[in-house]
Amino acid sequence: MSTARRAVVGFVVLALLAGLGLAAVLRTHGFSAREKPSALEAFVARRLRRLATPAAVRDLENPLEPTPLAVAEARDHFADHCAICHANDGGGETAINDGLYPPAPDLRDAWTQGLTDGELFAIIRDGVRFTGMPGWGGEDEDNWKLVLFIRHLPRLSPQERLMMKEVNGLD
Amino acid sequence: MRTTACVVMLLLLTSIGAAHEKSLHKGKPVEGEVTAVAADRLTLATGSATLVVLLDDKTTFERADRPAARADVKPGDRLSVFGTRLATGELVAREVLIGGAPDEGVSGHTGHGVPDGRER
Repeated sequence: MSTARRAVVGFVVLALLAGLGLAAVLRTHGFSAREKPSALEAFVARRLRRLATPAAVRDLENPLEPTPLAVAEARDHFADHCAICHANDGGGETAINDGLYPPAPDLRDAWTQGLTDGELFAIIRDGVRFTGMPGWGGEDEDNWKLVLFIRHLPRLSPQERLMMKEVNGLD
Repeated sequence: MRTTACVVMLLLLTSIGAAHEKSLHKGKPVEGEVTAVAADRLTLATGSATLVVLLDDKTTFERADRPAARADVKPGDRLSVFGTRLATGELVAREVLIGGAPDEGVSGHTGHGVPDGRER
């Protein structure tokens, strides 16, 4: 048997095994949005998501300076529109996110903070397909301010959290 | 069942759209009495505290639903101020209603839909 034929047979066998495994999971377990994605799923999904942002947008840098007013305006905007899923501190510990598949990530962690300004902007404006993240559209300036606030989240003060609670009533 | 689900989805999507309407991005007003006036700021007694209200070139003023000016604000006036609180506590004013908000205005300004359809 030639190497090429062996590779094709191997691929078919693997596909069959994967199909059988999937069928077994479906029969016994089904799919629930309350589960957490496996590491493999998360790895693949994050790489696919990166492909969703056009290169020209991915390379954009935030045109706004993180002035106290711009960050504060975005804080109120985030409290009003985003915190219901992402939580005021961006950690994602909310009742809605608990049942999302895939869940919204912790916006303070290295993976999210490692996204470019352009990627964060694109996620806010265009959303992420097959997830709970809607494409909000909106005005570019407001979306760039939200990018500033996401960058600020790891340094969010208790006082700022209180101000957000005044806006949305969330802890 | 399917009809109910569609109606719920429609209402949810409508509330998301309304929630992102820029004209509704005002939040709740801060109300109080002017105790001091300066070129770039006001001091407001809000009952429980004293608040510094910063004014800039984007701040607008209204009295009884008509445009007004910063010079119209005097110590002793009651104000409703829409704006953004800085992390340091000062309020950057976007809209100052001299004489306070009319009753129907208050309800119109405080409403700010969130994606689950609640009103604050």
